[in-house]
Amino acid sequence: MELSDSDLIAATLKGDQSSYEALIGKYQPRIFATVRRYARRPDEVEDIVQEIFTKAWQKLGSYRAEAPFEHWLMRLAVRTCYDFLRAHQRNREANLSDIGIEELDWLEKWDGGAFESTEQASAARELVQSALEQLSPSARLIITLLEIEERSVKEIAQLTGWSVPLVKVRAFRARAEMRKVLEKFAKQKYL
Amino acid sequence: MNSEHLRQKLIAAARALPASEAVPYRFEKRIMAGLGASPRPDFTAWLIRALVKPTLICLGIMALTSVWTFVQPLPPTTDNDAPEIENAIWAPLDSLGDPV
Repeated sequence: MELSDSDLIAATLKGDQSSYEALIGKYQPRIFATVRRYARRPDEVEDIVQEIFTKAWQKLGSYRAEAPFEHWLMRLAVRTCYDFLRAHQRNREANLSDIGIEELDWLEKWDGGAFESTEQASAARELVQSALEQLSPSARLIITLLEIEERSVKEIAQLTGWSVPLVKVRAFRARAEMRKVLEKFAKQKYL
Repeated sequence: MNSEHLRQKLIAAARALPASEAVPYRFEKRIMAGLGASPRPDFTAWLIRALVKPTLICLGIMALTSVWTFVQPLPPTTDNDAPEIENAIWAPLDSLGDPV
Protein backbone atom coordinates (compact mmCIF):
# COMPACT_ATOMS: atom_id res chain seq x y z
CA MET A 1 0.00 0.00 0.00
CA GLU A 2 1.26 3.44 -0.95
CA LEU A 3 1.79 5.76 2.01
CA SER A 4 0.16 9.19 2.01
CA ASP A 5 2.20 12.39 1.95
CA SER A 6 1.42 13.13 5.59
CA ASP A 7 2.61 9.63 6.60
CA LEU A 8 5.83 10.11 4.65
CA ILE A 9 6.40 13.56 6.17
CA ALA A 10 5.76 12.27 9.69
CA ALA A 11 8.20 9.40 9.12
CA THR A 12 10.81 11.81 7.71
CA LEU A 13 10.48 14.03 10.76
CA LYS A 14 11.07 10.99 12.94
CA GLY A 15 14.37 10.46 11.12
CA ASP A 16 13.43 8.03 8.36
CA GLN A 17 15.33 9.36 5.34
CA SER A 18 13.91 6.75 2.96
CA SER A 19 10.47 8.37 3.39
CA TYR A 20 11.85 11.64 2.10
CA GLU A 21 13.41 9.79 -0.81
CA ALA A 22 9.93 8.45 -1.61
CA LEU A 23 8.54 11.99 -1.53
CA ILE A 24 11.29 13.12 -3.93
CA GLY A 25 10.51 10.20 -6.23
CA LYS A 26 6.85 11.15 -6.26
CA TYR A 27 7.24 14.86 -6.97
CA GLN A 28 10.47 15.23 -8.91
CA PRO A 29 8.92 14.85 -12.40
CA ARG A 30 6.60 17.82 -11.75
CA ILE A 31 9.40 19.85 -10.22
CA PHE A 32 11.68 19.12 -13.19
CA ALA A 33 8.94 20.22 -15.61
CA THR A 34 8.38 23.43 -13.64
CA VAL A 35 12.08 24.26 -13.48
CA ARG A 36 12.57 23.59 -17.21
CA ARG A 37 10.21 26.49 -17.89
CA TYR A 38 12.75 28.88 -16.36
CA ALA A 39 16.17 27.35 -16.98
CA ARG A 40 17.51 25.88 -20.18
CA ARG A 41 20.83 24.20 -19.42
CA PRO A 42 20.50 20.69 -17.92
CA ASP A 43 23.11 21.38 -15.23
CA GLU A 44 21.22 24.53 -14.15
CA VAL A 45 17.93 22.62 -14.07
CA GLU A 46 19.44 19.89 -11.91
CA ASP A 47 21.01 22.40 -9.53
CA ILE A 48 17.70 24.24 -9.08
CA VAL A 49 15.77 21.00 -8.47
CA GLN A 50 18.36 19.93 -5.93
CA GLU A 51 18.10 23.33 -4.21
CA ILE A 52 14.29 23.03 -4.05
CA PHE A 53 14.38 19.60 -2.40
CA THR A 54 17.15 20.70 -0.05
CA LYS A 55 15.10 23.73 1.04
CA ALA A 56 12.03 21.51 1.44
CA TRP A 57 14.08 19.17 3.64
CA GLN A 58 15.30 22.04 5.81
CA LYS A 59 11.82 23.58 6.12
CA LEU A 60 9.86 20.37 6.45
CA GLY A 61 9.62 20.91 10.21
CA SER A 62 7.60 24.08 9.63
CA TYR A 63 5.13 22.40 7.25
CA ARG A 64 1.76 22.35 9.08
CA ALA A 65 -0.39 20.47 6.56
CA GLU A 66 -2.78 23.45 6.21
CA ALA A 67 -2.50 22.96 2.43
CA PRO A 68 -1.55 19.81 0.47
CA PHE A 69 2.19 19.09 0.45
CA GLU A 70 2.25 19.49 -3.33
CA HIS A 71 1.06 23.12 -3.08
CA TRP A 72 3.65 23.85 -0.40
CA LEU A 73 6.40 22.30 -2.54
CA MET A 74 5.25 24.12 -5.69
CA ARG A 75 5.34 27.42 -3.82
CA LEU A 76 8.90 26.67 -2.81
CA ALA A 77 9.76 25.66 -6.39
CA VAL A 78 8.29 28.80 -7.97
CA ARG A 79 10.05 31.06 -5.48
CA THR A 80 13.38 29.28 -6.03
CA CYS A 81 12.97 29.64 -9.82
CA TYR A 82 12.22 33.34 -9.37
CA ASP A 83 15.39 33.74 -7.29
CA PHE A 84 17.30 31.96 -10.06
CA LEU A 85 15.87 34.31 -12.72
CA ARG A 86 16.79 37.35 -10.64
CA ALA A 87 20.31 36.07 -10.08
CA HIS A 88 20.82 35.49 -13.82
CA GLN A 89 19.04 38.52 -15.26
CA ARG A 90 22.30 40.09 -16.48
CA ASN A 91 22.62 37.43 -19.18
CA ARG A 92 19.31 38.42 -20.77
CA GLU A 93 20.49 40.71 -23.55
CA ALA A 94 23.12 38.28 -24.80
CA ASN A 95 20.63 36.00 -26.55
CA LEU A 96 18.79 38.54 -28.68
CA SER A 97 20.84 37.72 -31.77
CA ASP A 98 20.18 33.98 -31.27
CA ILE A 99 16.77 34.32 -32.92
CA GLY A 100 16.96 33.48 -36.59
CA ILE A 101 14.86 35.04 -39.34
CA GLU A 102 13.54 31.55 -40.19
CA GLU A 103 12.14 31.06 -36.68
CA LEU A 104 10.30 34.36 -36.77
CA ASP A 105 9.04 33.59 -40.29
CA TRP A 106 7.84 30.25 -39.04
CA LEU A 107 5.96 31.86 -36.13
CA GLU A 108 4.28 34.35 -38.45
CA LYS A 109 3.13 31.57 -40.78
CA TRP A 110 2.26 29.03 -38.08
CA ASP A 111 -1.49 28.41 -37.96
CA GLY A 112 -1.55 27.17 -34.36
CA GLY A 113 -1.83 23.50 -35.34
CA ALA A 114 0.36 20.59 -34.30
CA PHE A 115 4.07 20.69 -35.11
CA GLU A 116 4.87 18.78 -38.27
CA SER A 117 8.26 17.46 -37.17
CA THR A 118 10.49 17.26 -34.14
CA GLU A 119 12.79 19.82 -35.81
CA GLN A 120 9.90 22.24 -36.05
CA ALA A 121 8.99 21.63 -32.42
CA SER A 122 12.55 22.21 -31.26
CA ALA A 123 12.81 25.38 -33.38
CA ALA A 124 9.58 26.60 -31.78
CA ARG A 125 10.94 25.72 -28.34
CA GLU A 126 14.11 27.68 -29.10
CA LEU A 127 12.09 30.70 -30.20
CA VAL A 128 9.87 30.61 -27.12
CA GLN A 129 12.84 30.25 -24.76
CA SER A 130 14.79 33.06 -26.43
CA ALA A 131 11.80 35.41 -26.31
CA LEU A 132 11.12 34.60 -22.65
CA GLU A 133 14.77 35.10 -21.78
CA GLN A 134 14.52 38.72 -22.88
CA LEU A 135 11.89 39.47 -20.23
CA SER A 136 12.53 40.73 -16.72
CA PRO A 137 12.32 38.01 -14.02
CA SER A 138 8.89 39.06 -12.78
CA ALA A 139 7.51 39.37 -16.33
CA ARG A 140 8.82 35.95 -17.27
CA LEU A 141 7.37 34.39 -14.14
CA ILE A 142 3.95 35.97 -14.70
CA ILE A 143 3.82 35.12 -18.41
CA THR A 144 4.78 31.51 -17.66
CA LEU A 145 2.29 31.03 -14.85
CA LEU A 146 -0.61 33.04 -16.22
CA GLU A 147 -0.42 32.53 -19.96
CA ILE A 148 1.56 29.36 -20.59
CA GLU A 149 0.48 27.27 -17.59
CA GLU A 150 -2.91 29.05 -17.55
CA ARG A 151 -3.14 29.44 -13.79
CA SER A 152 -5.57 31.86 -12.16
CA VAL A 153 -4.49 35.18 -10.67
CA LYS A 154 -5.41 33.93 -7.19
CA GLU A 155 -3.33 30.81 -7.65
CA ILE A 156 -0.35 32.90 -8.82
CA ALA A 157 -0.73 35.16 -5.80
CA GLN A 158 -0.52 32.10 -3.54
CA LEU A 159 2.47 30.67 -5.41
CA THR A 160 4.49 33.87 -5.53
CA GLY A 161 3.43 35.49 -2.27
CA TRP A 162 2.40 38.64 -4.19
CA SER A 163 -0.99 40.28 -3.64
CA VAL A 164 -3.75 39.81 -6.24
CA PRO A 165 -3.60 43.49 -7.40
CA LEU A 166 0.19 43.22 -7.72
CA VAL A 167 -0.16 40.09 -9.88
CA LYS A 168 -2.63 41.94 -12.14
CA VAL A 169 -0.36 44.97 -12.47
CA ARG A 170 2.66 42.79 -13.20
CA ALA A 171 0.70 40.77 -15.77
CA PHE A 172 -0.27 43.96 -17.60
CA ARG A 173 3.34 45.16 -17.60
CA ALA A 174 4.64 41.71 -18.62
CA ARG A 175 2.40 41.62 -21.70
CA ALA A 176 3.61 45.07 -22.73
CA GLU A 177 7.22 44.01 -22.14
CA MET A 178 6.72 40.94 -24.30
CA ARG A 179 5.22 42.98 -27.13
CA LYS A 180 8.28 45.25 -26.99
CA VAL A 181 10.61 42.23 -27.20
CA LEU A 182 8.75 40.90 -30.23
CA GLU A 183 8.84 44.32 -31.90
CA LYS A 184 12.62 44.29 -31.35
CA PHE A 185 12.83 40.84 -32.97
CA ALA A 186 10.75 42.00 -35.91
CA LYS A 187 12.87 45.14 -36.36
CA GLN A 188 15.99 43.00 -36.34
CA LYS A 189 14.45 40.81 -39.02
CA TYR A 190 13.72 43.64 -41.43
CA LEU A 191 17.06 45.46 -40.96
CA MET B 1 2.62 41.57 -38.30
CA ASN B 2 1.04 43.15 -35.23
CA SER B 3 3.14 42.53 -32.08
CA GLU B 4 0.09 41.51 -30.02
CA HIS B 5 -0.83 38.91 -32.64
CA LEU B 6 2.76 37.66 -32.67
CA ARG B 7 2.73 37.50 -28.86
CA GLN B 8 -0.42 35.42 -28.83
CA LYS B 9 1.09 33.05 -31.39
CA LEU B 10 4.22 32.71 -29.29
CA ILE B 11 2.15 31.92 -26.20
CA ALA B 12 0.15 29.34 -28.20
CA ALA B 13 3.44 27.77 -29.35
CA ALA B 14 4.68 27.68 -25.75
CA ARG B 15 1.46 25.99 -24.61
CA ALA B 16 1.81 23.43 -27.36
CA LEU B 17 5.25 22.51 -26.02
CA PRO B 18 4.81 20.94 -22.59
CA ALA B 19 7.93 21.00 -20.43
CA SER B 20 9.56 17.60 -20.13
CA GLU B 21 9.07 15.69 -16.87
CA ALA B 22 12.09 13.49 -17.53
CA VAL B 23 14.25 12.89 -14.47
CA PRO B 24 17.95 11.97 -14.67
CA TYR B 25 18.68 8.43 -13.58
CA ARG B 26 18.79 8.02 -9.78
CA PHE B 27 18.51 11.74 -9.26
CA GLU B 28 16.87 11.26 -5.85
CA LYS B 29 20.09 9.56 -4.68
CA ARG B 30 22.04 12.69 -5.62
CA ILE B 31 19.62 14.83 -3.59
CA MET B 32 19.74 12.48 -0.61
CA ALA B 33 23.55 12.53 -0.66
CA GLY B 34 23.54 16.32 -0.37
CA LEU B 35 21.15 16.55 2.60
CA GLY B 36 22.24 17.22 6.15
CA ALA B 37 20.82 15.93 9.42
CA SER B 38 17.15 14.95 9.56
CA PRO B 39 14.72 17.85 9.88
CA ARG B 40 12.92 18.23 13.20
CA PRO B 41 9.54 19.75 13.93
CA ASP B 42 10.09 23.48 14.18
CA PHE B 43 8.32 24.36 17.44
CA THR B 44 9.48 27.99 17.37
CA ALA B 45 7.78 28.53 14.02
CA TRP B 46 4.69 26.73 15.30
CA LEU B 47 4.61 28.88 18.46
CA ILE B 48 5.05 32.10 16.47
CA ARG B 49 2.27 31.10 14.09
CA ALA B 50 0.02 30.18 17.03
CA LEU B 51 0.65 33.53 18.74
CA VAL B 52 0.16 35.77 15.72
CA LYS B 53 -3.67 35.53 15.64
CA PRO B 54 -4.29 36.20 19.36
CA THR B 55 -1.79 39.07 19.23
CA LEU B 56 -3.60 40.66 16.30
CA ILE B 57 -6.96 40.24 18.08
CA CYS B 58 -5.55 41.89 21.23
CA LEU B 59 -4.13 44.78 19.18
CA GLY B 60 -7.49 45.20 17.48
CA ILE B 61 -9.32 45.32 20.82
CA MET B 62 -6.73 47.80 22.11
CA ALA B 63 -7.20 50.06 19.10
CA LEU B 64 -10.99 49.93 19.38
CA THR B 65 -10.87 50.70 23.10
CA SER B 66 -8.56 53.67 22.46
CA VAL B 67 -10.88 55.02 19.80
CA TRP B 68 -13.89 54.50 22.05
CA THR B 69 -12.13 56.39 24.91
CA PHE B 70 -11.56 59.39 22.66
CA VAL B 71 -14.96 59.36 21.03
CA GLN B 72 -17.01 58.84 24.20
CA PRO B 73 -18.28 62.18 25.65
CA LEU B 74 -16.71 63.14 28.97
CA PRO B 75 -19.00 63.19 32.06
CA PRO B 76 -20.16 66.68 32.94
CA THR B 77 -17.90 68.39 35.48
CA THR B 78 -19.21 70.66 38.22
CA ASP B 79 -17.48 73.74 39.57
CA ASN B 80 -17.88 72.39 43.12
CA ASP B 81 -15.41 69.54 42.68
CA ALA B 82 -12.35 71.48 43.89
CA PRO B 83 -13.70 72.42 47.35
CA GLU B 84 -15.00 68.85 47.80
CA ILE B 85 -11.56 67.38 47.07
CA GLU B 86 -9.90 69.94 49.32
CA ASN B 87 -12.28 69.10 52.14
CA ALA B 88 -11.65 65.37 51.66
CA ILE B 89 -7.87 65.88 51.82
CA TRP B 90 -7.93 68.11 54.86
CA ALA B 91 -10.62 66.21 56.72
CA PRO B 92 -8.21 64.07 58.83
CA LEU B 93 -6.27 67.17 59.91
CA ASP B 94 -9.45 69.09 60.69
CA SER B 95 -10.61 66.27 62.90
CA LEU B 96 -7.45 66.68 65.07
CA GLY B 97 -8.57 70.14 66.05
CA ASP B 98 -6.51 73.40 66.24
CA PRO B 99 -2.96 73.24 67.64
CA VAL B 100 -2.58 74.85 70.97
